[in-house]
Amino acid sequence: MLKRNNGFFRKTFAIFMSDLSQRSVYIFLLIPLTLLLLYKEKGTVPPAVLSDGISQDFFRLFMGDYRIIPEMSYQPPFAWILLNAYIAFIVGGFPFGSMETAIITKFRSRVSWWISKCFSLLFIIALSHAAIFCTVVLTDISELKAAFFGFDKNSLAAILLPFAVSTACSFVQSLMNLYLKPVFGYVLVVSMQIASTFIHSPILFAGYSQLNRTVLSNPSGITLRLGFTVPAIITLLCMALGAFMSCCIEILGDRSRK
Amino acid sequence: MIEIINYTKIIRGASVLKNINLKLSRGMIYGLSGKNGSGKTMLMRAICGLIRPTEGKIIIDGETLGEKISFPKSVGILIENPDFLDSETAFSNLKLLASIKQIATDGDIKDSLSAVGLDPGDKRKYRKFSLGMKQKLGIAAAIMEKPEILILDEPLNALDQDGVERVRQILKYFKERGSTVILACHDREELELLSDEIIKIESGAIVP
Repeated sequence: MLKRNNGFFRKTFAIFMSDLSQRSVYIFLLIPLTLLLLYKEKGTVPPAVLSDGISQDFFRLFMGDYRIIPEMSYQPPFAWILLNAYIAFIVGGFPFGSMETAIITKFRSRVSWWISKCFSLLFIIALSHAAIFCTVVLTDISELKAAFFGFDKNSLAAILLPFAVSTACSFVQSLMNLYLKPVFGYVLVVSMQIASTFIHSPILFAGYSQLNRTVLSNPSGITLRLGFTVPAIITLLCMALGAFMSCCIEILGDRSRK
Repeated sequence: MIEIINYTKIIRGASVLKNINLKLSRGMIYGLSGKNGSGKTMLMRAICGLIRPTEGKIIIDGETLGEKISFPKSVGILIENPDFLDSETAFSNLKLLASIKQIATDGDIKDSLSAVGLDPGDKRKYRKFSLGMKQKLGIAAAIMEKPEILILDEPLNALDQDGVERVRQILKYFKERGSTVILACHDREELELLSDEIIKIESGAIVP
């Protein structure tokens, strides 16, 4: 059993290294993008519910829809849209990247390959958000102590909710890429994300990462439990559906779906 | 032993493989001959498990592809243009691939690179490789784990005379160690020279 698990971790690690190698530059570029957006969003007043500067900066980046009430005029939340669209770009050609033909035939089954790809994707998204987090921490170095010892529930939620929703969006995108060309998967996911900034609908689940719509900003907003549960269910559903779909797909060439 | 039984593949209404029946033995080199689009590459993809049959099945050493296993247990493939990580060297690319199964040691990787005429210590990144070097790396990736089934689609593409001679030696080695080698090549003369048996494909069907 242990040997079998080791095999799975080894394969997942190899897939992750391959996926990371193709995306490391783009993940690194998240740092200047975050810096730029932090500078642009400086004028926005943070909510009183977040006590430390780091989570307040996170809130600024992932605030999303500026409207507290629907009657207010719509202003596109550029920082939120750009960060989400950029992460969707990093996901890009998942699950078919370079060497995929050579990699997949080293697996015993298509399902185990898909599960490994899912974990690899999870790590890629985690790294992308870690790059954003580290940039925020570095711009607010005086709050470093708070970052590691003093985060309260709300601060943690402000940082982790965008990650949870981002993961769900990426899994949906990857699932679509099993059948569609990456560009179509990308356009569909980004369209859903943009639509979620001006339409309040639970179907447009990307909107759950707009922190201004949550209880952090508005007592009658989306609860944190709902905000985390919906993306978690979508992620698990995509994993299960992908495992089923991966058994039926035709692999007709590396990068052939770009 | 590879048994292909009544294998038919239809993609978007077109039959790309029609009722293929074949038995491929160990220690033999099979040459696939046919025009562009005749179905050679598709047949190779089918044997690798990369495409699923519309009808029929492929049995490899008693196990049917798509049932307990999705892919052959031991297969080395070079299909169409090889694709590797641009930012890695030849050795690192193969090392990453080898880490999945952990069958090939560093020594095996170096041996396979040397066998195709690449320098294992070359620090150049893959993106700097010439077409011929990329092809050689694709062949090295296919052979490094000393697979029981070796599938090479147009392995001589972009190779110089030395490269062609090295491929001949590699094929001879795998034949002697009992692997099943399946080869596609546009050069009819070269294919006849390299193969023990020629399988001719036309419009997705095998012709006598």
